[in-house]
Amino acid sequence: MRPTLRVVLEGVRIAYHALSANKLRTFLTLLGNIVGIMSVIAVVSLLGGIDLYMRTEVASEGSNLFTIRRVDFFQAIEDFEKFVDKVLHNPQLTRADAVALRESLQHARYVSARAAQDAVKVSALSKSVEVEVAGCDAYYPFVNEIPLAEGRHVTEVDDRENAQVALVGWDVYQALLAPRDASGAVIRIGNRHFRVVGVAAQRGKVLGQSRDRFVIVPLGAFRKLFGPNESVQIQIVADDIRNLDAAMEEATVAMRIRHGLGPRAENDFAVSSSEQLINLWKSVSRGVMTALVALVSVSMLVGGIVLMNTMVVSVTERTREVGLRKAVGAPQGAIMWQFLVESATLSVFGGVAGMAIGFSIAAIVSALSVLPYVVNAAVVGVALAVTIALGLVFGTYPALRAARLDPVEALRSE
Amino acid sequence: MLIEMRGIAKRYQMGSHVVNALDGVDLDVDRNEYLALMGPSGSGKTTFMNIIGCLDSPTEGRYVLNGEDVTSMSDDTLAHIRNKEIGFVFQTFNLLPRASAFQNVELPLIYAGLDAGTRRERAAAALEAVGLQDRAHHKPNELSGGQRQRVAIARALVNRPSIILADEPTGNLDSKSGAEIMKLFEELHARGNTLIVVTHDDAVAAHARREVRLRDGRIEVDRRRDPIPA
Repeated sequence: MRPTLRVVLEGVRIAYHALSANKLRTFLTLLGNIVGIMSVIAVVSLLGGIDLYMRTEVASEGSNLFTIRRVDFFQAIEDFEKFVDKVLHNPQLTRADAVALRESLQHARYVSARAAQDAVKVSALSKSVEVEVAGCDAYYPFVNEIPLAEGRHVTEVDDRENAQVALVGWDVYQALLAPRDASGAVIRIGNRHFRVVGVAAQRGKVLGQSRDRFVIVPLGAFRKLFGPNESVQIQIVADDIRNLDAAMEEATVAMRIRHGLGPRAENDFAVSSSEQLINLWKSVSRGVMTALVALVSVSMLVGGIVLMNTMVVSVTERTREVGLRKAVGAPQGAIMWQFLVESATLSVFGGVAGMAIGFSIAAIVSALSVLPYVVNAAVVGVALAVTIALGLVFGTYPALRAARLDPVEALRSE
Repeated sequence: MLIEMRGIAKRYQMGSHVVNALDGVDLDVDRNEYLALMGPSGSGKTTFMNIIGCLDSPTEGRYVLNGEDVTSMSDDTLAHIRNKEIGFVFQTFNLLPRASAFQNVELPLIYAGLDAGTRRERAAAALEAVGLQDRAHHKPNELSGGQRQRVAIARALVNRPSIILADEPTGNLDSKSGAEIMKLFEELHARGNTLIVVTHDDAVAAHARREVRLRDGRIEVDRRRDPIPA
């Protein structure tokens, strides 16, 4: 007898009654399932959120952009000692490096040097805000997309003359200057005054973080503010996405020559594209997933064994019912399917509860941080399939036991 | 002939010795007979009933039920025969506690593989035959003992079996409900059903038209008689 819709519905009904008849026992039975599925859903939803964050935040830089930094911060994850060593010993990157690369690289369209300080107090009249202040050379508008609301960008002339001028982000304008006219207004950074020459158009929020809280000043003026020792990072736009690898290789070679590195020496700088960052993230998240799968497997295995135990008890409790069903003509297959459907249903109840809790956890974490969470339909599908399979696999032994009961013995049992 | 049994024996190995629960029984039962199967405990009565009801197979002999040799069939084939040929009535009713009267009556039809419409029609008719059409949606715990047994009888009737096999059908009932059940059996017999009632109660057996008595695994008495006047 195949599992007709009726048999399935009957099994679901019986499982529902078993659930509501003994809530504590059901909860304990399904704990393994609940915890397992909960962890998967919560972790996968958050990983998906970080993934989305990486893609929008990192990839928004543009896909044919790459950056030369003094140190590779992601190395801290892989080899912390080496990372510390590099922080201590790698030479500073300078504007001169950027100029040299701009002149020598074949596949580079734009090269821009940039230094930045976070959480710098910027004030005008009695108001102040803490924002990022970046020192840029004149090439930054070609490397980062910053449309203007009014005025102009910081130019090559400003840069050459170390002019005390600033381009302010939309939020900075709103907080310090609005509704007054921006151009000609003066803001104070540290103990220096800067004339506002332009306001960037509102770029809005990405994943809860404003992209309008910044001030851009010429790199020379930045140096005067924060001292000459800060390393710059060099952003390079390849002339074509297909030349990205070639451009990165070219830049690496040029930097090695500039730093006088021998053929066996390691790079004392870091070249990375947003694609590489994403790849690194992918390998990190793969690692997390692998660990997760291992942990969840154990949890589900325990859950399956407990489920099997509960089903054995359920079969024993209903021995007479099985005897009666056999007496009125139920073949072994029908009894078997009845109990299989029941155990699969129980298992799915646990899975659904786990999903609900898992998504709640993800939603709470998401609400308390900038990370979004992502409902991954594939994971929901896999979780359901896994719980059904678990119910069927661990329900097989109890179901077989029920199917093979001798009707005479079963009817006689108390 | 509905039942033809020749040399039916059932032997159990109990440690070192063999117990002859049934020891060479011959029995013929015709359509529309009303037979009481009696005997003291240990007489082999229950074993015999299980074999008649195709719940158990004999170790020896030959059993032809409604023209089919059921002596050594597989479990699933026997289940199919029980579904088609036998309607069981138990002392303890054996209703599914969480299912309504209607759903209990419908159960054999599900295993017969009938469609929902036919099942509904037949289950309703069977409940009407036992006078419980207005109790169809009650659960067993909402019914009296007599009503529960009548639901069980409706379940036994619903698949139009060749034999209704009742095991101490009044054993768990008060005398008034018991009398109602025996009256219902009279009606079923009058409508052409074949009844085999297993009992140790002479008053129950007195309704039957034929009495078969077992002792030590053999038939001791097999006689036909007139029923007591109602």
